[in-house]
Amino acid sequence: MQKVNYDIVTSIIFIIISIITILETRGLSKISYIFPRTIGVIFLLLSFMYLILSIIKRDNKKLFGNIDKQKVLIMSIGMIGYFISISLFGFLIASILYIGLITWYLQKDQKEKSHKSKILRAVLCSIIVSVSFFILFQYVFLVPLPTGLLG
Amino acid sequence: MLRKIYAIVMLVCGLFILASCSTSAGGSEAPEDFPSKSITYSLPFDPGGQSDVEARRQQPYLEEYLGEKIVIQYKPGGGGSVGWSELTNKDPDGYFFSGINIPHIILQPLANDDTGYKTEDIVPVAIFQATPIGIAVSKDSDINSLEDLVNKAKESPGTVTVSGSGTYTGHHIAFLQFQDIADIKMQYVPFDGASPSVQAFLGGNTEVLLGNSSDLLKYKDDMKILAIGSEKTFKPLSDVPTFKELGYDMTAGIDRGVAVPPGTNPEVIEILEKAFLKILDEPGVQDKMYEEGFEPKTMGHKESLEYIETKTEQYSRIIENVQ
Amino acid sequence: MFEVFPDIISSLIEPINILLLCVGVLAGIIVGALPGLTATMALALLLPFTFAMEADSSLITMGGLYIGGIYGGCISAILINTPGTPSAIATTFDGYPLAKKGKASHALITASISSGIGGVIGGLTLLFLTPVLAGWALNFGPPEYFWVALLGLAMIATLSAGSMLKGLIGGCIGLLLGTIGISPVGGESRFTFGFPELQSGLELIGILIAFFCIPEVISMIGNKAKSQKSLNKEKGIVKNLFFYIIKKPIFIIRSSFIGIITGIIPGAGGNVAALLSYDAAVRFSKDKKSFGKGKIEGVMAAETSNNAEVGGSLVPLLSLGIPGAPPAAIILGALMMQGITPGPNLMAEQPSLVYTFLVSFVIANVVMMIFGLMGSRYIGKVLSLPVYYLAPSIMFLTIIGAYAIRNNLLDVAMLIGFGLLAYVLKNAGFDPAPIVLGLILGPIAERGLAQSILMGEASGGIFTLFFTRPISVVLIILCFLSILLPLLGTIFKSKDKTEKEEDKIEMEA
Repeated sequence: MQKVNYDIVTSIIFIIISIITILETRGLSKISYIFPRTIGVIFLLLSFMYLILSIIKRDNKKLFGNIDKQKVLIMSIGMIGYFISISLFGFLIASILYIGLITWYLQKDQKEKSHKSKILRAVLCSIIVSVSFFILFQYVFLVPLPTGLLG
Repeated sequence: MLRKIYAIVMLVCGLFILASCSTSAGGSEAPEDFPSKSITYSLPFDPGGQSDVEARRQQPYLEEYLGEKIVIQYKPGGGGSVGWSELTNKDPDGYFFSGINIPHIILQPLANDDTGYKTEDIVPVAIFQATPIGIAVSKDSDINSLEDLVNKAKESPGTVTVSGSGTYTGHHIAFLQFQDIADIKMQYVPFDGASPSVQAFLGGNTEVLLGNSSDLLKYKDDMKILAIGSEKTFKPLSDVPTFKELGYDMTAGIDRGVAVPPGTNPEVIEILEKAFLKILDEPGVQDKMYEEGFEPKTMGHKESLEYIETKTEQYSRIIENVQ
Repeated sequence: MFEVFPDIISSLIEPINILLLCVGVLAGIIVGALPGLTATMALALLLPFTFAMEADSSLITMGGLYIGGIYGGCISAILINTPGTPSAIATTFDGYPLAKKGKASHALITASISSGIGGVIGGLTLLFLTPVLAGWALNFGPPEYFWVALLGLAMIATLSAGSMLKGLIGGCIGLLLGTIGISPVGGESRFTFGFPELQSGLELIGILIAFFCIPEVISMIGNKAKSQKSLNKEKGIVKNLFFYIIKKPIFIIRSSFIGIITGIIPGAGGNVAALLSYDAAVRFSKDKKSFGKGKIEGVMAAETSNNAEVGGSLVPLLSLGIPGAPPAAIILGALMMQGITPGPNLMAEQPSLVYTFLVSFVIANVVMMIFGLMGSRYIGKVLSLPVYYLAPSIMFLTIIGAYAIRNNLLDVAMLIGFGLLAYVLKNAGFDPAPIVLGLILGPIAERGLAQSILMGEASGGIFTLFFTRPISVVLIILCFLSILLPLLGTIFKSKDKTEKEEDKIEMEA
């Protein structure tokens, strides 16, 4: 199987972004476009250089080599889920859920511990961290934390 | 000493008092009960600015009149547009109002399509403070009057540099208006705020400064103030003529007030309006404002609405000419 | 100063003022250490309370809070690679690698000592040289801002860990991200893609957290290798590090000087100061390669400079009434609420107040150093917590912090989006440092460029404006040197001595 050369893919994405940037500056006055357009052109040139170099010097290093992909994926999805649940349930509930679930999940390698103690740790950690910082921010720093659509 | 003890008690205990304040919403209620919980006074600018100074002055009076806590929050960004688009989307229950600046709320939607709010969605409660904009040159300049400046600009169009705060702002519109009336052409150099523009002017980077009255008062020994944009002679700078007195039919300034979201109950607006205007009758308040270089104003809800309307009409014409 | 000496002493030995000073510094450190909460925000929170205080107490508290807040940023920078305040961005470069090696307490102690020294030097400068330096700030016009930003951007050469090309591309990405929002001079909105919230541009602190912290947290759990090493315990490290630092006076003076000068220029903050100082440290060092891998000098350079900057940023405020940095703007607001309008005559009108403030400012720096040293022993232990507690809790803190900056959920969405992007980019060899550098310096460069063009159009000579003003010329020379020297350095290695001489002559000519 041909391994994907991420350098080539990245450089093509960059070229597309730089072209979009340059096109987006149309319709602005000179004082507003001069800087972004100049940078856009430099970006385009550099990306071309990057593309040419990566075609000449193909190395088949894999992106995300020595990494536990499952954990990274769960963590990323967890973050997005966290954001969605903040807007649904409000900050406090979303945080308790998020910290609890992730803490529980990350303990999966620890075979020597019982299920019960893992869950207990997760629950304790999530409630202590979320509630204490929630109080600190909401009432001491007077940050009006979101209450969510359903809250 | 007593005051100091009070201060420390405030510092240590204040946080706990605030902590005990409930934030739960009360739902809809009859306007005669208003207000029955704490009110948010939002400022669309960074803390420490002129709007903030005014809001902090009002805070204790408002709490006294309304009998509820006033919580000041900052929502800076986009020259105010972030805060004002939040305002127009808030519940119109009177528990959230925001500081407004004229001409900002008129000019921003005129200049850009994606500002996030419309001028007519901002319902003014009162306008209580203004900083007239004045025009000044360095004290070493060979320009001694507004007439000299106009003559110089006529001799060599486009070479006189004028620093001011921002584009599509009070300073910019004052610049455009003056250029239009005097039929001259100068170069406007916008800076990102009043302080940087004063700094650039004092450093000799521009020849002319458009400045807020409060700044002009602060640096009056370092510059010659040629004219000021107030309606009548501005008390703290009584020897400076107004544009009108010099034959240029214009006023220039930044007016500050507060506004509520569209759809707010008129009775609630009236309660707030009364509270804000009453502050200006308190002894010493107006003198203090003059001392700091501000002009007290006492425009209620209706008057402010009409004022914004006339200004909108006037400014759309000027902006159209530019664009 | 000496005629008001009795007033200063009597004000400073008031127990309440001593207490407020300590409380201010401590509160500042806590707020600074939490990502998303900045010195500016802490000062804004304090503002209503200062109203009830005497003018001197209020200034003393605010000064302490400001100093503590800038220092506190280094704690999260070292422990979790997240600058708690933008000023601590350069501290992450070597502080975090040190922590990874198990030397978190070394980094924290170094940061405390050098912050204290830098802060005291900044404070003393403020105390004695304010009137002299005030005029200097005014000589800084749009062209100079442009060149300072370019000088900062030249640092990409030092910061690109791997390939220079990728560093430059990263810089461009940062510069472009910095153009999102209303154009600083033209007033038109750009690249907002229909989101009104984007008009004010990307929130710097949020982006800093996204680019520095999130990739680290993800790697923390994703790396198959076993996590953090336990902390090394050593006796007498405070003493050893103190003498290590104090034995480098030129290094300290250089870093403080850069900090103070950057502070005096309104608009360039502690982040720019720390970055420039770090850059200078790398360039003057004989052992360039070890920077970025956990070198004590890297932390020293950044922390000395960003705390010296605090003193510098108050120079234009006290001498001209112009706030040099956002926290200074709040101190100005506090003074106005006390009925004091800072202007060119502040020092003449209120000498005892101003000098009390300045002396307390120097003392606050010492207090901060002591607190910092006491805390360093314990706070480093946070890292010995297991990853399954640490990772979700850090993520939670970054999210609450990103929201708190301006109470906007869109900032949280951006944090997550940019954080994931940064993780991918980092794995593809794009270091976050050049990107963030571009984001910080882009708006300064653009504003300077556009304003200079407008000024140049009026005077008819854009060229003269950019290339003949004295400070500009100095900055241009520095820019050229900083770009050419590394290039020449590589040439030196491959050529023999006689050719070296020629290069030097060419460069000077």
